[in-house]
Amino acid sequence: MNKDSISNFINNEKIENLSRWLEQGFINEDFSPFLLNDRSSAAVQLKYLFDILNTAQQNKFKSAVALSIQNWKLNDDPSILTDLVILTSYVDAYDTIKALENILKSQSNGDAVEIKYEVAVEKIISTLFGFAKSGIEVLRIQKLFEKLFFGYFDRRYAVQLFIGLCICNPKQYPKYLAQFFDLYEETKDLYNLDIVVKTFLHTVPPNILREEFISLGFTYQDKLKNIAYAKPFFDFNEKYTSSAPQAKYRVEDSRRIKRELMSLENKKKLIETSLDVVKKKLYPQVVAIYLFSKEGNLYRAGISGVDSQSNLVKKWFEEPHYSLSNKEDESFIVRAAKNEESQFLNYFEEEALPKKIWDSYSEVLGGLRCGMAFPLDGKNRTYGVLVIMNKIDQKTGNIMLNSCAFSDEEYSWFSEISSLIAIAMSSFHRGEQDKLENDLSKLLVADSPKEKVYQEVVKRLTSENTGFKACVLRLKNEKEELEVIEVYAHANNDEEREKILSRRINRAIRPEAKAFHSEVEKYLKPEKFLIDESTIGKFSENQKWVRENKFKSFGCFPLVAGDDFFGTISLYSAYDYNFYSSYDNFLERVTTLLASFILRVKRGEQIENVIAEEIGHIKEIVREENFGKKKNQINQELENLAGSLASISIGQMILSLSSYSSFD
Amino acid sequence: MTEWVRAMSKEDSMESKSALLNILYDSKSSSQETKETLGLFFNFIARSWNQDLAENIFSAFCKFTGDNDSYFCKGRDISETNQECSRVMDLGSFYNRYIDDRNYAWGIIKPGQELEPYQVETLEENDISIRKEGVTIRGNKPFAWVTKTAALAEITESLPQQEWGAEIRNQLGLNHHRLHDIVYIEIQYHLETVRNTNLRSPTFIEGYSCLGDFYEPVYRSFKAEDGWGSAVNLETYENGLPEAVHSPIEFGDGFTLRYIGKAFASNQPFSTQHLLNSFRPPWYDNLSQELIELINHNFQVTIGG
Repeated sequence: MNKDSISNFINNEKIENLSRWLEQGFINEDFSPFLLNDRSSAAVQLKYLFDILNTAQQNKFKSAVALSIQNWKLNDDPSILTDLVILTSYVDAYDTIKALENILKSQSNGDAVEIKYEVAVEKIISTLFGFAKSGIEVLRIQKLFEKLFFGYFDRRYAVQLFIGLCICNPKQYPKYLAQFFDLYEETKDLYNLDIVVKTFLHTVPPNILREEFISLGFTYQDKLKNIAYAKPFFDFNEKYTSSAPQAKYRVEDSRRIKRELMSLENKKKLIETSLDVVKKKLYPQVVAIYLFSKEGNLYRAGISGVDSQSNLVKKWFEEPHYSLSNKEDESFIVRAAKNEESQFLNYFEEEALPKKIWDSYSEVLGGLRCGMAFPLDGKNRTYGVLVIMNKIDQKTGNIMLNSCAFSDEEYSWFSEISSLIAIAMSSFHRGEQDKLENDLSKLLVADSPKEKVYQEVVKRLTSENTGFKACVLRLKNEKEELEVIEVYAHANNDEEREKILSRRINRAIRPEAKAFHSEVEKYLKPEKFLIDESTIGKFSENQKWVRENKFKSFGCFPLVAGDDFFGTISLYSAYDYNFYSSYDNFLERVTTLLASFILRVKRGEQIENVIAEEIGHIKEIVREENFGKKKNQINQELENLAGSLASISIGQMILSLSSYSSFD
Repeated sequence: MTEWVRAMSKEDSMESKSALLNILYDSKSSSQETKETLGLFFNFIARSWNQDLAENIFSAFCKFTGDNDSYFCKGRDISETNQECSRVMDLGSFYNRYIDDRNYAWGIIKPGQELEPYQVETLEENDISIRKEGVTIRGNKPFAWVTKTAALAEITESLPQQEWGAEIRNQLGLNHHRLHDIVYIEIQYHLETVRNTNLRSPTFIEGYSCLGDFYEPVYRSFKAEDGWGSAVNLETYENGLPEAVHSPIEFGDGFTLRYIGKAFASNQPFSTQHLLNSFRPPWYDNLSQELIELINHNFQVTIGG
């Protein structure tokens, strides 16, 4: 059969006949004009054939090939399929995919499988590479490959599927590589890792390798770096490999996280964002932040995670506050706060959490396998604890219940993120402190009623973002007693607050009383101490109240302006509050501002008294002297003057009055 | 038999005249094994002539070997040679058939497709430890052509790499590759492997094994002193690279791979007339008669049997 006769043959025969003719060609070694059986260069011959066919003939030929594939059965000679598959290099992807799907379907039906089947599948997958590279049916091929790759299809094809997926969607390579590494760990004998990695590194474009490297989990990054062939490759991309650039990258990433967290002005948002950062970096099943309450207990301030079915948990179970001193509350979370060092959770250590809590988490998460807790250490205090429990396989999204462990790199990252969150919290608290100070400044210079100012000061000093549970303002009265002007306590509700305040004895302290207030007044310096059995006696009347509220630390600050002592502000904390220097300075500034306000109020009151007295004198003179018709007019003017003076702010009034030396 | 020889010697058939020249050359072989096989061939012709050979006299070669693998590699045994040998293959055929893509994952290597440097490095450095299981080195028919490794080295040492492919194709007489871009790979047989191989001088039996309608057989029987044959140089029609054949052997340890590279398609036509003219001695008018007498004298041919 020469070229012309082949051309005529293809023109004249139906597709079905051509298909049968092809099948014969693969079966029969002596089939003419081609040798398409499982020997030598069938593909070369077919390329020759294609070269002599016009487009219409080629399409007809392709249809015949596709039909042969469709007609292929496992009980036929599988070598036919092998060759047909090679032939499909010249056909289209759709039919090839269909062929593979048919084969897999047959296999799942338990039909006979022999070595030729393996070759056939191998060739089909290889052929699909070609289509993917050409951008033909890429999504469909990717979908099929992903289904097989992550569905743990016959692992002998894992390399092909892995590389094929990298061709289809190189940006997703971290997901595919991680899966491959896991498969390799389980079945090392099947693969030559060096060759696979070499192919992988030359399949994914270099820029994508660099850009997406960050998405590869630390464990897998390390695995990749440990492969000899990959090392020089990543040396080329020095940003990600040698220790110094790696550190640089790490620092840049840390700075980015830090900036993001520190830009947040809302505590709730700060916690939510922190949880998100941890999730993105470490893929825990659950991440939570525990903070110290004003009572000194740890409470769950935020939590985020998925349940055993990988569904986002929208409503979490109630979790009690943990006392650092109560043995029943002992847990790896409490230990992290108490010891100010990292703690770990292991699946076999059920005492890592209180039994009820362990069970609650196990129920939601499907089990507890691993976890870490890091203290959120600020400069002067520990804000709370960052906790992660269980890991998610970042490739599959499945919970890693069988091999849950955190690498050194992950541990390191967790530590760093904990620090960043603590820094952000510290920054947040400092911001809140500044805001409080600023608000008080405005309040104190404004023309506000002193009662309102006093109420606001004690209220703000016990607000959410301070460490104080109760505040007492005492001012010296005319009898030189330190009289309680305002008392306020932080509480969950007004009822609770009322209960706390009602138990307190608010008697004025006489000058001769031997209370610490006398020392404060005498030396004009704060009195600060931790409350224990050796110091509780200092509270005399309110010892019981201090005990009931379990206050642990106390500070009494003098209100001093110039040489004048006006009173004290006392602050109670329910935990071992350390009045460290920065907060001490803050309180000093607040008390100074308050003392200045009190001084101004007092002077204003003095001036008002003087003015009232002087106007009284004038009225007396007017009444005694005969001003005739002018009398009523003068009195009216005096009333107006008194009213005007009263309506002018004290500060302005002082300025106004200072410009007059007399009423002449 | 006589009729077949006469049909083959028709004036307008250069290929068949060349074939008769080759048959004559091989019929003078002193190897008993060769003689026995030729005897079987002549008897086959004698038996088959009246059945279906008349229509396609050239198909005799294909039909003779048929499904019987035992007729190949019956030339002189040269496996005791001290020469390392090499098989040159089209890369696509080699990769797609011999290499397990489940490990390499390079996909189908198409005809003319070159390898990337890392792939060349991988193939050359990783020996053939991840080859397919159970594959044997052989061609369409159950034997394989090889040449001397040293002879290939002479080419690769004297020419720039981009010329290796075309030069090797021409010197190996790979006429069926001439019209297309083909990438070649060399499978080098270690000496120990060569000695365990049934290495034989080629005869016309291998030279005219089925190639299909698109291929013009380019074969000229020749035997150097060491028993090696010689391919026909496609450009000069002179002797090209030495060649020998061997029976299928398992592809595994004992081989090294070397990437040769691409041979671009050649526009220069191959002339069967020139090939015929290049035979020594050349075609002469009473050759067919001489051949018939030689066959009748040296081989027991049963006419019609």
